[in-house]
Order: sequence, then structure tokens, then C-alpha cells
Amino acid sequence: MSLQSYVRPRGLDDALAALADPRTRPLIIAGGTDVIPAMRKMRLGEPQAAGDDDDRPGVVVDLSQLDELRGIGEKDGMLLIGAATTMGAIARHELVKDRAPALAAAAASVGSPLVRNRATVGGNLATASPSADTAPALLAANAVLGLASARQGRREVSITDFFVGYRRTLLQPGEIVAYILLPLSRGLVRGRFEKVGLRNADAISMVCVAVEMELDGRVCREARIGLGAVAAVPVRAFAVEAALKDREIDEAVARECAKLVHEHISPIDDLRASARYRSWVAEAVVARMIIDMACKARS
Amino acid sequence: MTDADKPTKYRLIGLALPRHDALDKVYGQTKYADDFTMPGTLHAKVLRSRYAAARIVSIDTSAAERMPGVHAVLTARDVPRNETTSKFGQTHSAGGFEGLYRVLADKKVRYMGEAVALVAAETPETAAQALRAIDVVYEPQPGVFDPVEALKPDAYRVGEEDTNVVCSYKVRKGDVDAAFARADVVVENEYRVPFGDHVYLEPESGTAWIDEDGVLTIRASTQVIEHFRDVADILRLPHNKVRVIAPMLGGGFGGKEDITVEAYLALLAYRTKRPVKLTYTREESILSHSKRHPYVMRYKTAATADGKLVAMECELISDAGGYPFLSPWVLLYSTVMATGPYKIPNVKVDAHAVLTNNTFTSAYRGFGAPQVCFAYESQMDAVAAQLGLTPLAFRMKNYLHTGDELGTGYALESAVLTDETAERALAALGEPTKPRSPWEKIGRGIASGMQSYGRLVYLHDSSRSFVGFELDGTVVVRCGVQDIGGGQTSSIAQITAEVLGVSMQDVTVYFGDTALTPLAGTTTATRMLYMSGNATLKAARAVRDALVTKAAEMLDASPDRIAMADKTFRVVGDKDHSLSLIEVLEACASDGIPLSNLAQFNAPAREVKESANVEGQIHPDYTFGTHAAEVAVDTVTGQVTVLKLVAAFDVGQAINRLSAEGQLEGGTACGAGYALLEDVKMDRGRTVTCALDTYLVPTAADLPDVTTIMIESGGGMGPFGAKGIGEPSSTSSAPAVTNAVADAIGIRLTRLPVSPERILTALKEGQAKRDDAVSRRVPELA
Amino acid sequence: MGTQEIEIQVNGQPLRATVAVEATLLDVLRNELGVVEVKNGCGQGDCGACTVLLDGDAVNSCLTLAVQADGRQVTTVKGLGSPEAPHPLQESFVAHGAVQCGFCSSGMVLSAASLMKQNPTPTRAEIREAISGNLCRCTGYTKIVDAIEEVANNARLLEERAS
Repeated sequence: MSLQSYVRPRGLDDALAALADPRTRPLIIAGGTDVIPAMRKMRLGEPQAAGDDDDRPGVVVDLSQLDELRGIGEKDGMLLIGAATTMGAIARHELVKDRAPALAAAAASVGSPLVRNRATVGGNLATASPSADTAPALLAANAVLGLASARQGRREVSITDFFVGYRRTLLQPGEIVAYILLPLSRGLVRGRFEKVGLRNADAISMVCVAVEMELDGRVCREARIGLGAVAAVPVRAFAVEAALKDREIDEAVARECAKLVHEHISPIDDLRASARYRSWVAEAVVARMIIDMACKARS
Repeated sequence: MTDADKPTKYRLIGLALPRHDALDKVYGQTKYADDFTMPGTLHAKVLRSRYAAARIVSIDTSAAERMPGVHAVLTARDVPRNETTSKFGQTHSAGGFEGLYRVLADKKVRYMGEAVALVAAETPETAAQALRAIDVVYEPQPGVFDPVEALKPDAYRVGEEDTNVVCSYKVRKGDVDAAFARADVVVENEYRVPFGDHVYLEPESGTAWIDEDGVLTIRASTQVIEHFRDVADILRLPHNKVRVIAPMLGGGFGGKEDITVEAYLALLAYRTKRPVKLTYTREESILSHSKRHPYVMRYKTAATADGKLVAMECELISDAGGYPFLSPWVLLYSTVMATGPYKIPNVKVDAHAVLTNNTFTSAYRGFGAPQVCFAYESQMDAVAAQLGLTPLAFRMKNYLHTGDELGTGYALESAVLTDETAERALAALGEPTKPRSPWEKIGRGIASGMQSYGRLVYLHDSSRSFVGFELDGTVVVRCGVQDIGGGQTSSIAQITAEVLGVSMQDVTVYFGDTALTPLAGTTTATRMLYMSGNATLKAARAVRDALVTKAAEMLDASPDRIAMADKTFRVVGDKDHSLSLIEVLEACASDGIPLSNLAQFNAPAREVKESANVEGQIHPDYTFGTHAAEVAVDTVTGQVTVLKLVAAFDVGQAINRLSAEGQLEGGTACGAGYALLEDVKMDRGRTVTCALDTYLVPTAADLPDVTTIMIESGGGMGPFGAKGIGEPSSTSSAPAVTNAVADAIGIRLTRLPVSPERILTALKEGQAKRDDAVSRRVPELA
Repeated sequence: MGTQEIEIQVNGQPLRATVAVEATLLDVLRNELGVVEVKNGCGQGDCGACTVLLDGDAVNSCLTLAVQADGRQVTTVKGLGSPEAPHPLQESFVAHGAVQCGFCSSGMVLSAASLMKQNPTPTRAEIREAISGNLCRCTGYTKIVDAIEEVANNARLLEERAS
């Protein structure tokens, strides 16, 4: 291994500066729950396959204790979450539980309580795993990601644009996710998250789904649906959303609309489940969530 | 009144006493194998084959040997005796039950992860670099990965013999064909169960060194310190020059019954004359240690219309993996227990263990019983359904009782209370849970099981224990048990304290050391309480008798009138005369009366029958019990929530109530994991679930509370009438869960684990079949 | 390979070590600092045997770099209590038979302690959730939940008495 040094920046600008020079081969660490096992696997496995020493990271830049990147608050009617906020903090936060329930549920479903005390929401997004549990919730919430780098400064992007390919995002070298902004659900907007895993804790999703719906009685005014573990990247089910819009929801409508989910997913076989299973479950869970939410709205 | 409230004839036996080892453990003071360090320790690593089937063309270790900090690089040619026949901790010759143990692959690699070379170096990093510098040229072979394929005459030969069959057994009783012809209901199914990993929390670990007397000493996490003989044979050393010490283990479950790190450590320490340490990563553990046997099981079961079982035919094929290890023993267990706790006049069992190029398979909690229990308990439910009987009613008509014969012709001698366990287990499920949503289906299942405790009678098993008073009235027990976490030493302390009239805190148990503790055999086969408990009981009673005799003499009373309790000897009915324990001990010491005793307990024994026909008594005794489960199945995702789990067992006599309940709860939980989750997946011999994020075991969030019901018949062969429960507690748990799933969804899955995907697939196919049936029926109706 | 000097407060004792940047807190605790009550069961955050409290939060020490713990408080099961000054959870684990092989116990007790700090009166379901990152292969968890629940019930009684 060639990790040369460890930097714990004092502020965000320090951090961005530390990440700015590609020659130092910086490695971003926050919770470390992805990067540390990956480093271990490299150490245990085939080091020659992991490329030359020169390609591997040199400076570890730790964002986990940067106050500017941590915390949960309200800003202009939006929920503002620092990217280095832990999953545990998000899952336990009353405002999140109340006003962004899908995100709270998604954060609560990541790994185990121990993992959630380290893992950060920014890390969950930046590693861009197709099964990142918070991604569907943030997709369904139409979240905005605040990015920062020394070179490009600050910019805000929609989460819908963030994932560009398998484990790839539009983050540029030296750029980090700094914060997440999402609308606080209010009035008739409801959010839900469901994870289908092989067990109830420390499981990677076979399928995960988040739905946000604005319901007027049983009429769906607007819906947003995010799915994970069913494509190379977390996806929005736009076709389902469009089909639901302004429809009065009953079981048949929900089932009919949910079928359109296949336009957006292209699941694969892996150790946990087959593509066929993921297709079945993605459609069926989307349908069930819509039915449940509509029923609840009615009552 | 519950069982726990019954008045007891014992002072300590049966009480829920805190275990003496729990204190050290919960304060972080217990030292496990990897927690010891010695000055000057070298670090070992094992080079493992990347191929499941290959010839080794050449091994070049020269570059590794030249590396600074590398002290030894060993291959097969460096091992004095690379191939030994292990007796797996036994002393009696047991013919076909001795297994080839090859320390390092030589010429041929038989499974992926087989050890090829060993390195000892100053640091783990240097050792890892040295491994990479070893150049092994392999010539890959086609291999064979399916036991059914491996049975074919032209199959790739895994070993050196011209067959892949490790062993075959059969049981013949009555005439199954005639019975099938006459029966009212015949149900035939094929069942499959997967590889399983033990996932003891503590990976394999040990340190070896040469002590000041020149004795090669190995402190390792093992269930069998008596592998010291195998290690001595491998190094061609006298048996008395190798010592194995087992500290407290972080779990075993059968996975530390075979040799793991011991021989590697011994070879490296002997070569380098330095202490050498080796601890596996979890990945290396899963890759290299034994697995639970996958089985293919074809079952044909017949019953009369009035619900009497008349015939059972079973064909069992077990995947032994690359080397036999304990496969012949495991298969024998399966063969004997293939028909379960049922009285069946006509039985035919054919069983084969077959080599493949998969990871080798060996002991795992249940030892061949859980596989067949899944099959026969699935069959019982399937037959009951055909007969229109409830699962309980059908079973109640067919349970074995004391005096009834197994398929082998052995008539059960001890208490058999399966009926009571079944009724109570089912009753304990209580009111059925209501579905939480229209997508949820609730189901209930029961499964009864039988499981031996104690080793095969062929092995002439024995155990020894030394019990002695110190002059201050404290007690020392020396007993070579390995404590794998089930409270083995604590139970021995409790038995000793009961007999000698002292408290548990007064008893110190020295355990797990081949040099210092009398050999007690393996902590396997649910034998430790039975064997070492009896040996300890015998020794403690001898000590007590000697002291009571002396006290009687001193008190001028007859010995049968002396009561020994609370460190005092009293004459019964005489309040005025008593002696303190210390007074009697001092008197004995002055008179040269021993304050200690070394006792041996021998289990029932038989010579090995060479015939493949399995007849008569094979085990000392059996434990019987029933599990009950209630589950909720999510019909949208196929996910199962286990809502209730009950274990009802005749434990004979609980020694420590907490430990006994703990065994029942833990065994039941493991069975639920086997039913729903656990699956070591192999792709042409390559384990693809090599870590705990892919080989999943149940977390606390996946299980309900386990309700335990202990029936105490007092009819066991262990101390105070105890039966063994370590393994039985797990055996019938899986089929109880799968029977509940079948009850919920109306479809019986014949393959473990019953995963969400398998359930959903079955539901979809079932739906498709029903749709198909409806569409075909329409024209007829018209 | 880069190294760095760090100081960690382990159970209140400042301990110094020079560690490799990529070394995990687990490796440094066990191999450099002799803090062997922290167990290594999987090395990648799936078993919980290596649980410690980092500034009071239960974390997998195998998923934390040692350098990340520089200047911070690490509590192990030995720091939670001792036979002389036991933590109620430790006493309850022993009394309920919640300890079998014991390899999970140090992590399990710490996860329970972390739960009790956030939620002194958890339900059984909340207890199960809170220890779901700590695998136990011996007990089936029932007695562990019993042990934690008793401490919670005592806390609840105290709360009721106070109010």
C-alpha cells in the first residue's frame, strides 16, 4: 500500500485545497465504511490487479469531522443536510423523520447501527453504488446536491443528473458533495421507502424503492419514484410517475402504472438475486407502495 | 406449576446459576487464541490453491526464501509425514472411520483453497509478500463439482483412487416395495440442502512454540486437543513431545473438529525454533475450513389410510468435497437417522458420500442429522396433507417409543417423549397471528427430530476427569475438555460442587491441555456433558465417599448417616455432632487418604462392522424433541418473517438451566438460518460467498424470541440422567420453519434455503399452474 | 508506506502509537496497544465483534482508521465496567446467561450501552434493532435481549419513580 499521509482539514476550504492537487493522489474518506473494506480487499487480494503503486492514493483526506459538512437544519423551507452527516444522525433526526420520512427510513436501513454511526450520506452518494439506499429516497424527493471544489467553487446539481454510469458520478477530480437540499414534505405530500434485502439488518438491497406522492384524496397530483439495485445507477421511474399523474388511484391503476417501471430498470443477476426476481419485485413493490399510500390517504 | 418450579432433589443441579466463565468474558478478560502474544513471535501465512482441480507441476520457493525477514517456506516435501490417517481425536482403531489428512497439497490439488505452502516471517506483511513470491505452476484439470456427476463411471477422479465414492451404507428392514404396493398414500420427493459455514465468531487461530523442555506446544482454537497425536505423527515426533492447549473458544459448531492451524504452526515452529502465530481472516476461514455437507435426498414415504407409516425409502448422496475428513461418520449418522423418530416397519436406506472438487465437508452441528430431518419432516407434512390429517395428528400416530426399533434393528433403551414435546411445542405457539396486510400469509409448522449424543459406539469413547480437594476446602478439577462456549467447564464445576457440597465459586476447572489435564476426548458429538460429566461425577463421588468414610469414623457414625453439605459433615438427626470440611480434609491428609480421584468413564462400545449394511446399535443414545414455528410470508417479495419459534425437548435433566436454555435457543436460531438464509455458494469449486456480507447468518433483527420447553425425564445416560442437547437443539428447527412456510403459501419447497427468490418463484409458478389449470378446464366445462 | 503518530484515549488512558495510515483502529488496538478485548471477527464491519465506543458512539473499529481516532475517546468493554465496578449491562448479561462463547460479548455489551444512552427505555424490538450489527452464533439472541431489557426496565422504574 502506498497511503502516505493523513490530513484532517480544519475547514472546508482546507479540505478542498488538500484535494486540489492530483499529484498528491488524494483519497477522500468520511465514514470509511466503503473505502476501508475496499482497501482491505485490495491488501488481501491481488495487489497486481489493482494497478501500480503510482495509481493508488497517497494522501487520505478525512472529511468526517468537518463541522461545515455536518448537521441537519432547515433553510428557506428546505431541509439542509451536511454531506458528512451520519446515517444514524439522519435516521434519528425528528425533522427528517417527520418531513422527509422516506429519507429517514432509507438512512435507517443502511448497514447496521454500527455502520450507520460512521457511514455518511455524502459517501453513500459519492461511491455511487447502484444499491445505495439513500439515493432512491433523494431521487424521489427531487433533492439538490451542493458540490464544492477548489477549482470550480460551488455548484448545485439535481440528484437526477448526479449518477452518470456504473459507480460514476459527475463529480470532477477534487470535487466533493458538500450538502444536500431537499424540499420538506408538507401538506398532502407523502413519502415512503421500502427495502427488499435478504435479511433485516446489514443487508445490501436486492431492490429498494422510494415513493413521494402528492395526493388529493385518492387522486395523485404528482408522484416521484426512485429505485435502487435495479440498474447500473439509482433511477427515477419517470414513466410510472407520468402515468400516475392526476389519476384516481385504485389497485388496478396502481398495478397498471407500476408495469411501466420496466422502462427504467435493467437489473442484473448477482449473488443476492436474479434479474428476474428484481424485475418482479420492483414492479410489485412499486404497485404496493402506491396502493398503500393511496389507501392511507383515503383513510 | 412450570417445570422450573418443581422441587428438586439436588442442591445445585438444574439451577440457573451464572456461569463462572461468563464473568471473565463480559469484562473482556478472557484470552482467546489470538489474544496471546509471545516475545519474538513470527507470523505465518498459508499459500492456497487458486484452482479447485489441478496438478502441481512445480513449486519454486527460492525467491520467497531469499526475502529478508522470511524464516521458513515449507512445501509438501518439507513435511516429515505429509499424509497421516487421523482418528479425529480417538484412540481406538476404527477401520474405515480413519481419514486421510494431507498437510500440504502434493502433486494434485483437490479443492480451491487447499494449502500448498507455508511461510513464517517477521511480520504479517512480509509473510504476505513471500506468499506472492512463491511460484506454483498448476496444470488445471476439469474437476467435478456435482456429487451426482461424480458418481458416474467416467467422472473425473478427485483423489488417487479409481472411484469418487468415499463410502456407502445401507439399511434394510422389511420389504418396502411390498409395502408401497399396499399403501394408501405414497409421497415421493427429492430434497436438496446447501453447503453451510459454521461462522463461529472467532476465526481459526493459534500460536506454536517449543517450550523449555523441548516440547512442541500449540495453543490453538480447537475442539479437539487430541489432534496432538496427529501433529506428532506429521512431524514424526513422539506423542509425548507435542502438547496442545485449547483456551476458551469463540465458538466451534464442528468447524474446529478437524485440524485447522495446528499442523502448519507446528511445522513452522519446529523449523524456525521461534514462536509462530497464525490467525485466519474471515475470508480464509470460509475458504479453507470444512463445510456442512450438501445432500441430494430422494424420499419415498408410504402410509395407510388410518395414518400409520408403513414404509420409507431414502437415497442419500452427500458431497464430501475434496477430501473425506469426517464424511464417512457424518453419512453414517444420516443413514441411521434417515427415518427420524418414527416407527416404520419397512425401511430401505441407501447412502453414498462422494468426492468432488468442492471445499471439503465435515462436522457441523447436527452431523448429518439436520439434512435428513429436513427431508423426513417435509415428507411427514406432505403425507399428512394427503391423508387429511394435521401434521401433529399424523406424527402422534407414528412416534417411536422406548423399546421400539430403529431401521437398524436397535431397540431404544432410554426415555422417548417426542409426543409430549410435539404437543407442548405446538401449544406454545398460542393464538395464530393475524396477517398485517393483504399481502401477508401466516403459516405454522412443527418438526420433530432425533439426534444422537455421544460418539459412535465403534469408537470405544472414553473420558477422564480428576477431582481433588485442596486443604482449604477449595476444589480443583482437571479435565481435558475444550470449552467452545456451551458452558462445558461450567457444567463440570456445577456437577463437582453438587457432589462435594461446596459452591461453584469453590471449584476451579483446569481444562483443555494435553499435558496437564487428563484427556477427556473431543468437544464434539454432543458428548462433553455426557462423557466428561460422567467422568467428573465418578471422580467427585469417589472423593466424597473417601471423605464421608473418614468423617463417619471421626463422628463414630455409620457412613450412610453422614450428610456432606455446605462444607460441613453432619450426622443425620444429630444436631450436636458435626465436623468442618477442613477438619476432615486434614484428617484424611494425615492418614494418607487421597483427597483426589482420577476417574474414567467409558461409553458403550462395539467393534466396527465391515459390512456396509448398518445394523444394531450405532450410538449410545438419542435425544428427542420438537420445534414449532410461525412465519409470515410477504407474497409480494417472498420474504419470510419468523414470528414465533419454540423448542421443546426432553433434556433428561438440565444441569445448568441457563446453559440448557441457551443451547436450545441458539440451536433453534441456527436452524432458522439454515432454513431461510445460509448458503455457501460455489461456482465450479470456487466459493463466491467468502465473507460475512455474502454468507449471511441471522442477526438479532431477523429472529423472534425462542420459547424453550424443557422436559426432564431423567432418562438420559449423562450425569443425573441428563441427555445431550447441543446438536439436537438445532436439528429439527429448519424443517419446522420450512413447514410453516409451506403452510403459509400452500407450496412445499424442497430445497434449502427457502429464500425470497425461491418462494416468489414458487408462488409465480403456482399461480401459472393454477391459471393453466383453469384455462384447460374451461372447454371441458363448456 | 506513510506512518503517523497518534494519541488515543483508551478507557481514559492516553495511549500513543506510530501507525500506518491505512491501519484500522482495530488493528492498532489489538496489535500495537494490546487492547485485545476488542475482537476481530470479520475485518469488514459485518460481525460487530470489534465494536468500541468512539466518543460515545458504538462503531466498528475495523471500519475506522486509527488515524481517524487520533485525539478521540475510545471505550472498550473494559472501560465500561470491571468486576469491581460493574456496569449494569455486564451484570445483567451474566445473570441472564447471555454469554456463551463470549466472543461477541464485548461488542454486544457496547452496542447495548450505546442504545441505552440514546434510548434508556427501549422496547424489545428496539433492542433487537440496536444489536443487529453484532452477530452472535451461540445464543440465538433471546437471552441477550432479556439481559438488555432488564436494565431498560430498571431504568424505566427509576424514571417512573423520579417523575
